[in-house]
Amino acid sequence: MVSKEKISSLVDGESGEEFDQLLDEIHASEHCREAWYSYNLIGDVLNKTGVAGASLDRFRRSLDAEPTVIAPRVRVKKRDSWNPFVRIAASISFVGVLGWYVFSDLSPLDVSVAWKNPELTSRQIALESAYDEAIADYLAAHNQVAPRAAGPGMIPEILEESRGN
Amino acid sequence: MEAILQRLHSGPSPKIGAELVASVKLSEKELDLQLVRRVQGGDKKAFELLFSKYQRRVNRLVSRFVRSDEEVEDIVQDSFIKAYRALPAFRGDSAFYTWLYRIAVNTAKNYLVSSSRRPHAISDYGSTDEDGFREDELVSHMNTPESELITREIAETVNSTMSDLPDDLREAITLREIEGLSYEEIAEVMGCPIGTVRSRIFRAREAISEKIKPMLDVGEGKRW
Repeated sequence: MVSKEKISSLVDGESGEEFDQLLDEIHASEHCREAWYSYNLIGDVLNKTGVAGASLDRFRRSLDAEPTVIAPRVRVKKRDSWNPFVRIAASISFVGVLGWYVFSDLSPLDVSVAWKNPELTSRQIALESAYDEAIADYLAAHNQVAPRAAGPGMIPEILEESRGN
Repeated sequence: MEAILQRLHSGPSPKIGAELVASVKLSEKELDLQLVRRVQGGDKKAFELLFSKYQRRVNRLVSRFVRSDEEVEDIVQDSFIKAYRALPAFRGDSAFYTWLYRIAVNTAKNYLVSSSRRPHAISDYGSTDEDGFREDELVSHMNTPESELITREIAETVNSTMSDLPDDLREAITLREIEGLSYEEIAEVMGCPIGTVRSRIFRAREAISEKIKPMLDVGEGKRW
């Protein structure tokens, strides 16, 4: 049986985790209910609330005549861990990165590199510019030696050989 | 008791005051809310515990509206039954007693309207103080002279037993019941572990309870 000391703590709201178990035991034991009643009564007398009360017997009969109320369980809406400001900031960031990617010459790799090391990126851009110039020179030279027929490169020769066969 | 209160107010912990009392009230609110949740889950007996706890406060409140003992009893009973019916809608935003208080006041007012009467003392319930107290109410509103005598005896016995308690028990229960301190705060004031506070309050209650038990066994039937 539950100790009355625990009921005393329960009356004071100091019972801790054992609440449900304590209540079950109070329901089951007249001595425990008596203790609950007495301790609350003592508190009311000391607080000058008074002694006079209503009849529990009568109340119990009235309560027994009532249909048992059961509150619908409140479905707690699972809160999104992303608050609205974070969501808006994330959206803006995404659009910004996407825009930068679409409208700039940098590849996603470049973007990430640029993000991490802007100095390295500017050097890389300079190297790429030099590389582009070299390619342009090579292509110009290639066009000068390439046959002027149907297409550039090896394709005209391949076409010629296929006709021969 | 005066000495205890004096010591409390001039004690070593300046933070004890409204802020800490509020934390105690929160604890009581949580206790009531847990009981309410049990009732909302279909446990009727948990509501009997709430009745057992608050019936005297509601009784005193209603007695400000009507003088007749029978009427007070009827309104108190009705208020609790109404509260029980409405309990599924109680969400716990306010304290249970605050919610119950409104139900009891409305029930009493409706009763007066339906019986086309004015309350006996309007100024009494016009106050916002839920727990305003008049000394003459302490021993009133029982149905018979015999039960009124018992009520008076209970009050006197509680107070006299308090005076006879050892100092440490009396101090512990005074700090709890009158000052409304939590066990932790009482431990700080009294300079002892919380377990000791728990034990002292329990022993004080048991000592008083033993004295009043014979008076509770007589009267209008079982009280618990």
